Amino acid sequence: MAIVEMKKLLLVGLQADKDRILNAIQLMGNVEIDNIELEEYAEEGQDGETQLLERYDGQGIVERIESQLSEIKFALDFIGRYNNLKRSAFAPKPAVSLEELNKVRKNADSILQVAATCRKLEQRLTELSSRETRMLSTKQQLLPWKELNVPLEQIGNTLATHTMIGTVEKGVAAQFEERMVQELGAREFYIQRVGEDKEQVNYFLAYHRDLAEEVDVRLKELGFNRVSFSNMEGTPAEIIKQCDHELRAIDAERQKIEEQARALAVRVKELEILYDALSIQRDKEEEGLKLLQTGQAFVLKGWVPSRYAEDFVSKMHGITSAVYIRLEDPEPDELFPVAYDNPPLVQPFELVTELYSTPHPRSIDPNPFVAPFFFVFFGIMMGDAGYGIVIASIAYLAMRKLKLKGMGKKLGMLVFLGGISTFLWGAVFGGWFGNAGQLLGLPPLWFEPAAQPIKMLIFCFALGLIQIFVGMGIKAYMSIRQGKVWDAMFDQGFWYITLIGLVLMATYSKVVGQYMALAGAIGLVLTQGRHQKSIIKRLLSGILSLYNITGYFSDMLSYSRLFALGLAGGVIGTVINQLGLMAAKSWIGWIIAIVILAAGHSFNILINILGAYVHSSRLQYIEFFGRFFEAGGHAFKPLRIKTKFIDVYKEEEAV
Amino acid sequence: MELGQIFAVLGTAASTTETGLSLGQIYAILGAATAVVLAGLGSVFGVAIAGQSAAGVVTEDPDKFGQVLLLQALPGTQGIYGLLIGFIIMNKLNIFGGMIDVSPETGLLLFVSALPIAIVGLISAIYQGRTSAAAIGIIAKRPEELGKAITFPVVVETYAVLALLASFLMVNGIPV
Repeated sequence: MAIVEMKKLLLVGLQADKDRILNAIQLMGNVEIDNIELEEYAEEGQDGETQLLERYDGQGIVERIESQLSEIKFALDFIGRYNNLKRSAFAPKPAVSLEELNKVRKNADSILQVAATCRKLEQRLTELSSRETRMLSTKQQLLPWKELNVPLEQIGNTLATHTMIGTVEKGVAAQFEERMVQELGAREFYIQRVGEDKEQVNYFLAYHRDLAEEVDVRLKELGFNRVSFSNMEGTPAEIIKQCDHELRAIDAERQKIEEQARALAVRVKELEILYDALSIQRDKEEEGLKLLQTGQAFVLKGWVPSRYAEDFVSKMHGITSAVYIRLEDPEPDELFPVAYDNPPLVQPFELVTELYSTPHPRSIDPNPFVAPFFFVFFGIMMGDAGYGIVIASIAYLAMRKLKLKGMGKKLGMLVFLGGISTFLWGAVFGGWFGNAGQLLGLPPLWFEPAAQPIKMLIFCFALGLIQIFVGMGIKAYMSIRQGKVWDAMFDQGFWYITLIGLVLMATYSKVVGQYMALAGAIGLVLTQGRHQKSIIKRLLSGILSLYNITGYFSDMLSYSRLFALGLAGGVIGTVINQLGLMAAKSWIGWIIAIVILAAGHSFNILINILGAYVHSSRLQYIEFFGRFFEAGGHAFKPLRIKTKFIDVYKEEEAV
Repeated sequence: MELGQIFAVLGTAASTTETGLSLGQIYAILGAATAVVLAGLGSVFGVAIAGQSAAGVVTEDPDKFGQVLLLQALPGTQGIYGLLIGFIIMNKLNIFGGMIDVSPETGLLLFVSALPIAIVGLISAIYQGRTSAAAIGIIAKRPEELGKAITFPVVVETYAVLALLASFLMVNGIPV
C-alpha cells in the first residue's frame, strides 16, 4: 500500500559478460537503467581518468535492428494485404519459449529473406501498375482513331505527298468537310473521316506538295487541329490490340504475384516471432547505450526495488564472479523512480492515476484511496444492474480467454470491477436494463433516484463531502509526516471544523453547528495569513481565505454529476424499452423488438461507459487530487521483455 | 398587453386547437423539441470540430484512433442530455399512450424548464468540441498524457451537467 522503496544500483562488470548480464536484467524485468553523465562520473573521484571511460557506442547496432524491424513490419503489412490474418478478438497471443525465441533469432537471415522477397514483389507490382497506366492512357488516346488504317509512323511528308491527321470541332465538321471537298476535291487532295469522339471529328488528309499552302490556309481558317503521335508504330487498331495483349499479361503476372504473396502467409508466424525477438534485442541495446565502458569493463547505474535487491545480487553472482555491485539508499532529496505496491484489488485503479500523473516519490500513493471512490462513482453513474452483469461477464471472458498480462490485465480487471459496482448500484437504485426491472416488478433495494431526486442529490453531495474530507486528511497526514503538525492543524483542521459545523447547521442542530462553524472560521482568519509579515496583511489574508468556502461548495456540487449521469443512462434505457415494446405487437414485431433492444442497449452501455469513466476520473483528478496530490515523480520503467505478437515465457514457467 | 394576458387570452380562446391538441400540450412539446434539437445540434458541432482534429492525428498515426475517438466523443453527451429532458417531458404528457391535457401555464412552464439544457447544451457542446480538438493536439504529441487531455474538455461539460440537473429538477417539480 505504498510507493515502493528503491535502491540505487552501481554495477561494474567485464565487457565479456555484458551481454549476459543485460539479458538477465531484461529477463528479471525489475531494474531501471539510468543514463550516466560522463562528467558526473569524473566527479566521483576518478580525476584524470575520465578518458578511460567512454560512452557505449551501440548506435549502429540499434539502427540496424530498427531497419530490420521496419522491413519485417513492411513484410507483415504486405502479406496481410493479400491474406486474411485477422485473429478472433478472444484469441490469446501465442506463447513462445525463450529457447524458441533464440532459435528464431539465429535463423534471422532466412526469415529476413522473406521480407526481402516481399520488397521485390512489391517493387514488381509498382512497375506493373505504372506500365498498366501507360498502356491504358495510350489506349485511351488511340481509341477515337481506331478506324484509321494507316500506320502512324507513315504519317508525314514524302517527296511529293503530304499526309496528316487532325480533329475538328463537331459543330463545324460538316461545314469543314464540305468546303474542303468543294474547293480542293477536284485536285490532288484526299480527305477521309476516321471516327469521332464526344466533341471532335477526326480526319485523315493526303495531298500533293504543291497544294500545301492552300491547304494550310484553309485548315487554319476552319479551326483544324493537327494531331501527331510520336514513338508509335502500326495502325491505331494494331496498337490497341497490342495494348490489350499487354494488359492481359500484366493482369496475369499480378495474379501470379498475389498468389506468391498469399503463399507467404505460412511464414507470418516466424516473421512475428522474429519481430518480437528483434524488438527485445533493440530494447536491450538501447538501454545499453546508457552504459559507460573502458577497454575491458563497463559501468551500469540504475534503480532496483529494495525487495528484489538481494535476489538481483545473487542472480548476478550466479552469472559471473567478476562483477562489482553497490546498492545504496537514495539521498534524502534524491528523486527515485516511482513504482506501486498494492493489493490485487487496488492494482487496476493504478491505471486511473497513471493516466493523470506520477506522484512525487516522497509523497503518498493515492491508489488505495482512488480505488474505492472510483469503484463507487463508476457504479452510481452507470447505475444499471443488467448492464453491470453484461460488462462484468464480457470483461471476465476477455481476461479468461486472452490471458492478459500487465496493462491489459489491469484494464480488464478495472472493467470487471466497474461491472460489479454497476450491478450493485443498479440493484440499489432499481435499474435493470432501463426500466425493465420495474416492468417486471423488481423494486429498488433502497429508492428510485428519478422519483426522489432531492434525496439522491443529498446522497451524492454526501459522497462528495466524504471524498473531499479524505483528500484533506491525506494532505494533513503528509504535513504531519514532514513534521509540520501546525500546518495540518491550521490548513486542514480548521477547515474540518468549519465545514462540519456548516453541515451540522444544515442537518442536525443549528446552534451547535453555528458555534462550530464560527470557531473554525475564526481559526482560519487568525492562521491563514501566517506567511505574511505585517499584521494587517495577515488579517486580510485570513479573511480572504474564507472565500475558499466557495471552492469547497462548488467541488461538492460537482458530485451532482453522479446523479445526472446515472439518470441519463437509465432514461435512455427506458426509451429503448418503450421503442421495443411499441414494436412488439406481432411475432415479426417481436423480432424487430429484439433487434432494437439488443442494439439500443449495447449502444447505451458503450456511451455510458465512456461517460462514467471520464467523469469518475475527473472527480479524482480535479476534486480529489486537487486537495493533496504532489506531482513530480517519474514512473519506474525497468528494462524488461516487451512484445507485440507473442507471449514469452521462461522455461521454468512452462510447467 | 402583458405576456401573461396574451397567453391567458390565447388559452381561453383556443385551449383546444382544431387538431385536438391543447395549447398547453403544444408548448410542452415545443419544450421537448427545443431540448432535443438545440442540445443535439450543439453535440453535432462539437463532435464535428473534434472529429476534424482527430482525423488529422489519425492520418499521421493510425494507432492513436482509440484515444482520439474517446476525446471526439466527449461533446456528444449534450445531445443525450437534451434527449433525456425531451423524453421526460414527453413522458409527463404520456405521449406514448394517449396524451393527457395540460393547461397553457403548465405547458409553458415545461417549455421554460427545457431551456437550461437546450441553451447551455448547445453552447457548451461547441466549446467542449473546441477544447477536445485542442486536447487531441496533446495526444498527437504526447499520447501518454491522455488523462490530462481528457480532463480539459470534461471541465467544460460540468456546466452542461448542471444545466441538465436544473432542467430535470424543474420538469420533475411541475405537477401535471
